[in-house]
Amino acid sequence: MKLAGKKDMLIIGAALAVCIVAALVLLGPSGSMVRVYVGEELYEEASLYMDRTIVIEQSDGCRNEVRIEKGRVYMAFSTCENQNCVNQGEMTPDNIASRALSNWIICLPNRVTVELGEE
Amino acid sequence: MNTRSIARFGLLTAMALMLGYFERFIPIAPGIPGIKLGLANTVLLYAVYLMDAKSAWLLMCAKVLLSGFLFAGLSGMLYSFAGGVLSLAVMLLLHRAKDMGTIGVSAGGAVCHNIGQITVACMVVQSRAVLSYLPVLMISAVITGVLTGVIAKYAIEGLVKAGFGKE
Repeated sequence: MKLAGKKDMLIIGAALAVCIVAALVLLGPSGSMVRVYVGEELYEEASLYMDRTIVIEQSDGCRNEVRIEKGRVYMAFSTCENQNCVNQGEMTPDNIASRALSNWIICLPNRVTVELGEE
Repeated sequence: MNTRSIARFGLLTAMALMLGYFERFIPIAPGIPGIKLGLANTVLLYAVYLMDAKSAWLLMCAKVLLSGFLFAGLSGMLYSFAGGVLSLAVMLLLHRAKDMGTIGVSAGGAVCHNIGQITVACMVVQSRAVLSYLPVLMISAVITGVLTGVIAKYAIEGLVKAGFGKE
């Protein structure tokens, strides 16, 4: 039984190449506009430099709270079970290059996404 | 199916379920769903190498269904099923290639597992935001896929020596 050969390296190389291309394509220009979406629809737009809490309430009982505070934005509360969105932490224009999800906070179960983008 | 293969099938299903359950307690990247060690995939790799395709498909479906009912919930089941179908199809294909090692089969399967999951996420959320999962999930799939590929090679060889080889 073989562990690895040239073909294995080819597969790993191809996967890493797709990875780098995807990262380069996705790394958009940073900005200071917070956009909250439910599904594909824009729910609310706000400046990163005006402190406020955006509450997203949906008819099926899902509720999310996006907090904008001192130039940072994060998911402060979510009714979802896995709490991934809350654990994704805060976004600032400076940290999106090093964040795993770049300029997005994503709550998959509630279909809520938060983007930090251009004006 | 004779008694021996039924017993072996049950053992493999239990092992896949257990590995899938325990790796939930090893958080690699909090906040990012889908990043996990994929230890259960070593069991599936065993099936790919030493059993026929039909048994491998049956094992994957049993694992997804049972772990869905026991741990992951219905929506989790949907994600694992999409990932499982795509990854198993690719692993069955890759392992037929000449000179392909367990690392290539395993990493290819892991990457496709995550692609399947992202596809479901795209359909559920309908937002381009979901694409931002792609780079981080694929990097993690390559790393964990290589690791499980190494584990699978030595585990399978050990099992063959112990008399659990091809029937």
